[in-house]
Amino acid sequence: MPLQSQQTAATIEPTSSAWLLDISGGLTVAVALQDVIYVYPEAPQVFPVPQTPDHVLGVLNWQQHLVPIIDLGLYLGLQQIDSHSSVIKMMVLLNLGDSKLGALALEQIPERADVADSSQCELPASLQAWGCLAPSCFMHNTRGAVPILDLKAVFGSELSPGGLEE
Amino acid sequence: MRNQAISSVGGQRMAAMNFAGLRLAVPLVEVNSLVSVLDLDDSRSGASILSSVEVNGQELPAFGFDAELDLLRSVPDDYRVCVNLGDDNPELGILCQSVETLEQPVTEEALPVCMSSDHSMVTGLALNDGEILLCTNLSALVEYIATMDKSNAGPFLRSSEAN
Repeated sequence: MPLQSQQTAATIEPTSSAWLLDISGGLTVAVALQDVIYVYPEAPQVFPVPQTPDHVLGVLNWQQHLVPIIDLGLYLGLQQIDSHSSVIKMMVLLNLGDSKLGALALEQIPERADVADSSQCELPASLQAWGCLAPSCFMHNTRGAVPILDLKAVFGSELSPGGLEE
Repeated sequence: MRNQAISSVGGQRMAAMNFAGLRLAVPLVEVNSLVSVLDLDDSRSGASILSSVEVNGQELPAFGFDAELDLLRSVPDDYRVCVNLGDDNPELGILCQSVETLEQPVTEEALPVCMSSDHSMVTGLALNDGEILLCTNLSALVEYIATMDKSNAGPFLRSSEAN
């Protein structure tokens, strides 16, 4: 094989598409491309539900589906409840599988990214406590280590404050 | 219930109680009777029991909630009605601003697991003509009040234990 072809084959690596989600507190997490159903450029009407965990902001009505809304930054302790703005900037609607939906509060519009297997890395030590929510992680060239969320774990678990699953 | 996400548990007729902007629905079959607050006996109030109400010759404790579903310690001026709960055997009264029977049956959906809390009376959510309703029932209310009453050393639990 000519040298040029060998170099080309060596530099092309299969990638998977993902969305980068900027949650409150300055952390970026990722979900698979197909997990995102809709991005609310402005926060929709949120119905607060009393006596639920602080990081659960409430529910919204999406086409006759009741969708729980989570602020992961609050859950992870990246954002203090007292200093947390009551105004949600934007939100992303996510497919959890089995016809279930969930929504995450975001700081910015999601960004597309292509993730190669070779970019996989360990969860940063500061995030080890919530490894149950992000079984894998990759290194992004500008954002650093980005945890990949397990949405069923995020929305299908009773989460205790500080990042420990009950 | 805790292992389900949002799942249907069947449609039913419900009554919605209003608490300072919050609407809490209970199964209509659990509503025994309605009484005006003017007919309540305030002399037996104390701790979380706001008043007592006589139903079929039986004195029942009456409770109230604010918009966060916390137990009230006094009756707000605009709470006008007491909803006595318990089908054939009324167990307690709930004071609220007003109560209405929903025109159509609603389907209660179990609370998503991520929203579950050990100390919540909310058993589920429902959509009623585009409006989101919080749902509860008598057993959840009794459990919640007993838990809150225990932490406050109030009289409801003591009377329950005495029985």
